[in-house]
Amino acid sequence: LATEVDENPNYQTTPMLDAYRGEDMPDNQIWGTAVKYLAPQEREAFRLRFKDGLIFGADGSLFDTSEAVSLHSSTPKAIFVMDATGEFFAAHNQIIGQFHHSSLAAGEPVAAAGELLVLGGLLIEISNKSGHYRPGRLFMDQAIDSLARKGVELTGEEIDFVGH
Amino acid sequence: MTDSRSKSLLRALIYPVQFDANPVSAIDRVFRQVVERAALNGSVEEYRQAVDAGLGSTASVAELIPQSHSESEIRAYLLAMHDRLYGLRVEHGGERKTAVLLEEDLTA
Repeated sequence: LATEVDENPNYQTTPMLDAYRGEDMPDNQIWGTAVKYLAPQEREAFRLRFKDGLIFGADGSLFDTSEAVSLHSSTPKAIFVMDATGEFFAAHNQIIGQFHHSSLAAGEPVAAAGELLVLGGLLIEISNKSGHYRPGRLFMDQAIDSLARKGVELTGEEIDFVGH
Repeated sequence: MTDSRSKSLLRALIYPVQFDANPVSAIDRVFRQVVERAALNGSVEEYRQAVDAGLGSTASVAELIPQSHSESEIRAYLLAMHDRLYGLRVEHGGERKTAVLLEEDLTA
């Protein structure tokens, strides 16, 4: 029997941690500064696209994280979230109290979250390091599944999984 | 450590190390990404005061954000950050080196 592949996956999601609820409000007690939550139309500028095993930014250029900043890594990495349909959104600059994974998802649940190290469109490393979501193994597996559906096959060496 | 400003600044220092096996080894990264960038509009002096308040408090600092490190690990990290903020270079692993004033770090 042929394996049936769902062309429109509906991945399981995990909510943002309660500790960060309200961080987008001015004068919140979490950071004291308001974290930016992207409106749907704003989020489009952060959407990743995939073709021939390579990753592209929303502007059509090859995605590259050489100048990116993730608070959880010394090497330059972008932060990303994946929604329930397997769509990826990534940002080059994570800033405490201003822009986090929650910014990309507007505080909504995600199907995966973490970091991406991408050079010239080629995925070098993916992690599940997101302080706002702290996603477990299931969500990393969902990201890997979605990437595979988009033509980005991982050997396993690219995966930096941290248990929580 | 009852004021919310100190708690926010401590969160800014603790948040980046929650996935580091040894938070003390991440001192330079956090100093660069948080203190030097004046995260939360905090000055070096404000970060000093927040760390002092956290270390001097009997309240848990590890519980300021959801993370897995113990109270003692986070306090060891904050102690290393204290030294960094006051101009003592901290080598990876937390061992103190000779007191080398880093004036350029203190002018941010």
